[in-house]
Amino acid sequence: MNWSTTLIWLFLAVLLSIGTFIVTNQTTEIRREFERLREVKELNRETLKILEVQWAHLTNPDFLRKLTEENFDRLWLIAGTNLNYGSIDDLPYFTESGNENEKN
Amino acid sequence: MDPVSTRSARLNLLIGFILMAFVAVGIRMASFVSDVDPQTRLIRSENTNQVFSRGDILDRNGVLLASNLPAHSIYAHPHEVEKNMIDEFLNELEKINPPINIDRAKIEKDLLSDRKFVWLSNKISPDQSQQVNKILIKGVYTGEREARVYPNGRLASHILGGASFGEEHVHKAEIIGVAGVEKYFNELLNQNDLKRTNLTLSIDVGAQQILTEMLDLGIKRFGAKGGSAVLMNVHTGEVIAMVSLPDFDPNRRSEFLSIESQEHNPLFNMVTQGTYELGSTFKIFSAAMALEENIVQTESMISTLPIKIKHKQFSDKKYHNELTVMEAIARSKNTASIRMALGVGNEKQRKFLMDLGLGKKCEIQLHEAAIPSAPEPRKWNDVALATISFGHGISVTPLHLATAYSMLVNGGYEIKPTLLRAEGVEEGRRIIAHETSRDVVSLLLNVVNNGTARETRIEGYQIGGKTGTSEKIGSDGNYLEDKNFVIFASVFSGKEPNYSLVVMLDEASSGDGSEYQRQAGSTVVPLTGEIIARLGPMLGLIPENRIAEEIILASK
Repeated sequence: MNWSTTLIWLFLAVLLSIGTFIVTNQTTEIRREFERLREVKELNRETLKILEVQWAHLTNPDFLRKLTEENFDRLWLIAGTNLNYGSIDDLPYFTESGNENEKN
Repeated sequence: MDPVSTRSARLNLLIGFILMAFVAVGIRMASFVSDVDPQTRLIRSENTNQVFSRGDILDRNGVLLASNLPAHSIYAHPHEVEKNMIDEFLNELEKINPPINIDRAKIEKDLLSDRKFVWLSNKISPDQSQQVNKILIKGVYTGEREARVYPNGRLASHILGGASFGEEHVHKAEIIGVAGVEKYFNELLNQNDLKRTNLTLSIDVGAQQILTEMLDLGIKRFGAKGGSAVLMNVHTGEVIAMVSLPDFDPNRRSEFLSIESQEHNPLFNMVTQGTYELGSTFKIFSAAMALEENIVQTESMISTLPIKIKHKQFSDKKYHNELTVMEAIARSKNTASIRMALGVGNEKQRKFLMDLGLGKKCEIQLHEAAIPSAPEPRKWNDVALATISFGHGISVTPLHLATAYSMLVNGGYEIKPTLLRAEGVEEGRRIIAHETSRDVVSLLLNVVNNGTARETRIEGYQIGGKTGTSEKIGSDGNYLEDKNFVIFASVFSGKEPNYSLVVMLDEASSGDGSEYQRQAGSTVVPLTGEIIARLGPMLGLIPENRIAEEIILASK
C-alpha cells in the first residue's frame, strides 16, 4: 500500500516537473519573442515618427508656396481668394439637345 | 497510541503538505499560461514602448508643429584623449556634411585640459553621428538622446517658442521648453504617466502661413521695419493665427539670443510683448460706452469743434459744426470721441476699458505677455479721459486690441484669448448689451464703406474696422513726428462678424513718406483687404452674392 502510494506521488512529481520544465521553456520563448516584437515595434514607431516629421516638413505651407512659384510655368497654380468663389447655379451645363440650359 | 498509527498519521500529514505544494505549483503554472488581463497588458506594453518622452504640438487640424526625433551627442573624457590626435580629429570633424556647429578653439582647449568630462556637441543628427563614429579617437564618444524639432521652420515661431536641454546625461537628455507654449505647457508635455500628452493648439497652419506671407509682403511694400498681426475667433477667443515679424527659426533659437536690440529682435513678440498707444482704434470704445450708457445713438448729432479741457486745447485738422456719431467715427474725429467720453465720465470710462481687459495682462498661454500701461485711478482726470478717448495715454498690446474688438462685436460678452483649441462657445459675462454690439458693428462697417478704411472693401465679404496711427516715442520721451505705427483693427465677415484681425506696421510708408502716405488708410488698410481676400476661403467663409468672373468668362 505504502509503496503504491509512493509510486503514485513519485509519478505525479515527475509529471509536474516535466510540465513545469515545458511551461518554463515556453514562457522563456514567449518572453524572448515578446522582447523581439517590442524592439521591432519600437523601431517601427521611431520610423513612423521620423516619417511623420518628414511629411510635416515636406508639406509645410512655405515649402509648398515656394514649389508652386518655382513650377508656375507648368502648373499655373495661384493662391485662392474671394474671387475664385461662385455659386453652383452659375455653372453653365448642356442638355441632351446641346443647348446651354438657362437657369430657371 | 501504537507506533503504526503514529507513523500513518505522520505520513498523511506529509502527503497533505506535498499535495498543497503541488496545488501551489499548479496555480502558479496556470497563472503563467493565462498571463494577466488585456488592459494591464496594454498598459505594460505602452510603458515599455515609450519611444519619445515629450508630447507633440499640433495645430487645430492635427498638423504637426513640434515633435521629437532621435539625435546624438558628442562628449569626451579629456584625461583619456591622446593629445597628439586632437588636431587631426578636429580637422575630420570639420569635414562632416552637413557641418556640425562647433567652436574649434573651445573644443581644442577642452580636450587639452585634464577635466574628467566635456560636451563637444549636444545635438547632432543620426546621419552626422554615423560619420562621427568613423573618426572617433580614444576618449571621445557619442551618445543617444532625443531632440525637439519644428518641421515648419519659422512658421508660428513666437507661439511655439522653443526648447532646450535641461538635465543632460550621456544617453539621455531632458527636453525643457524655454519660450512660448513649449515653456507654458512644459510640465504637461513632459508628463509621462501612461502615454505622452499631445497639445492641440487653436492656430490653423494655413491661416498662419497666409498672415505671415502677406505681412511680410506688406513690410516689403511699405518699407516698414517690422509688423505684427493677430487673427481671433470673436466667439471663442481662439487665436487662429499670430505673427510678429521679424521672426526666428525655433530649431535654431539659440543663434538669435545674441541679438540685443529689443525693438526689432526676432525673439520679441510684438503681438503680446509690445505695448503701444494704439491711437484712433480706441475711438470705437468711446462710442461703444456712450451708446451703452444711452448718451448717444448712432445717428445722434455731435459737435467736432475744438474743445478745451483744463487749459489744454483739443482739435481735429478738419472740423464741422456737427456730424452724426456714425460720420464722426468714420472720419475719425478726436473731438467727437472726447465729447462722448466726457458724457460717460472718468470712472465709467475706466471701468469700461478694464472690463474689456485693457488694464491687465492678457490671459494667454504665453509667459511672453506684457502688462498694459494705463494711468492710475487717481491720475485718471479729465485730460487723461480726453486723450484716452482717442487712444493716447494708454498702451496695450495688439492682442488686447483684438480681444476687446472681439468682445464688442460678438454680442457683447467677455472672452479670454486662448491658444488652445476650444470645444465650443462658452458665453462669458456680459460687457455690453446685444443692441450696443449691433450698433458698434454698424459703426465699424461704415468706417470701411464710407470712412478712412475704404480700401479694405472686397467683394463678397462684409468688413468693418477702425484705423489708427500712433506716433513713436523717442528716447527723450517726446513723440517722433515722422515715425509711427499704423494699425487697422478689423472684424469680418457678415453682419455678425466671426473674426477679428489686427494688423500693425512699424514705420510704413506708401510713397515718398509724406504724412498722408504714412497713415493707416494708405498702408495697412489695403494690406488688410488683401489678407482677408486670401484668408476668407481658407477659413471657409463663402463670399455673399459672389459670381465668379472666371466661371462667367468660361461660359461665354
